Amino acid sequence: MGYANPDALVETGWVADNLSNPALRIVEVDVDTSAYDQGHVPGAIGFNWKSQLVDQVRRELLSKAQFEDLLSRTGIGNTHTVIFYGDNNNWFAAWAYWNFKYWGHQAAKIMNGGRKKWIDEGRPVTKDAPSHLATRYVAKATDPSIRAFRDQVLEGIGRPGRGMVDVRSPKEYSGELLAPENLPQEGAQRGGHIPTAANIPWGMAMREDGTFRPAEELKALYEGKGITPDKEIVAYCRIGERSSHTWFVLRELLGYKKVRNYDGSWTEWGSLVGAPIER
Amino acid sequence: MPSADEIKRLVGKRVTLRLAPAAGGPPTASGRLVGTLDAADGLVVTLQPVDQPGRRFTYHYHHIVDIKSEEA
Repeated sequence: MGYANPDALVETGWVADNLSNPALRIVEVDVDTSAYDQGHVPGAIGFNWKSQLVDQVRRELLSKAQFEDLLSRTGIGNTHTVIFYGDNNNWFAAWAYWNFKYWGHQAAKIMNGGRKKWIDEGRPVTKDAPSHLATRYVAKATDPSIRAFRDQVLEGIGRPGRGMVDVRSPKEYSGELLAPENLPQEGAQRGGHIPTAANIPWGMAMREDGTFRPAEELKALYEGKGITPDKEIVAYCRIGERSSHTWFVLRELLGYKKVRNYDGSWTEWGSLVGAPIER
Repeated sequence: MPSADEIKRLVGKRVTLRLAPAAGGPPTASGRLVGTLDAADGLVVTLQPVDQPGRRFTYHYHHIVDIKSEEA
């Protein structure tokens, strides 16, 4: 059994062999927004998820005009295949990948193992930012089938044919923590999880070297906890990046047809007045 | 719960994990500790069961109540 969409992944060696390929744009997106400046894959564009990939006033993804402007300015065209990678085993690389899919950019891949594997293998890094020629990027219509909003999540709780996966750490799921243990404990008024959600931490999908586990193991992991391909699945975490990672696993590696990322995630749900919570 | 460092020191050894009920499945798991994965939300542990050498299982360390080496 192989991955459902093997084209969604590339290995570090392939990227190393294609650094000068004009059909590609390589993009780094990190949790630690200073990482890119410390050294990155030669030719990689750096996106700061906090200041470049979200609206700076509302809590919302980029608008069509903002998305088009960012890609045009940084030299990403409609025909480019975009290779995403980043730190923390591609948390925000997966989130950016999901963003691009949301705006209809289908030619996208994730570099298996991310920034850490590239560096661990002793591959070249540079502090030089690329200077690609500007483009005139035109975004397509959004794909609402891959995004969940709070009302959809609420409406789906306990309904037959629906499944929900909380990909945070067990202590966040139980309500003991409000955020990852190494980050400030902020962002939601209450701790716990959405009723009926199974807890499958995103990292359980990974090998010890930061690459994805084989398809057979992933299938057993998710189906063993009721996250099966016949259901409409919603994945969530705290702010939507770890759940993008699991969304990628379910959609691209296992081929689930109906899986959404709830990017509002716990920072929204845990602060909603009256929202049901389990601990 | 053992610390991440305590777990990492046992990489490569045969170990038995005692698991919290929230982990689901059996209360213990034994095998060779193949490796660990560090992340901002905690350590993920990969175990290769002795009786299923072709398979690997992963556990978040929040679910590990205790870890013991089975080697002298």
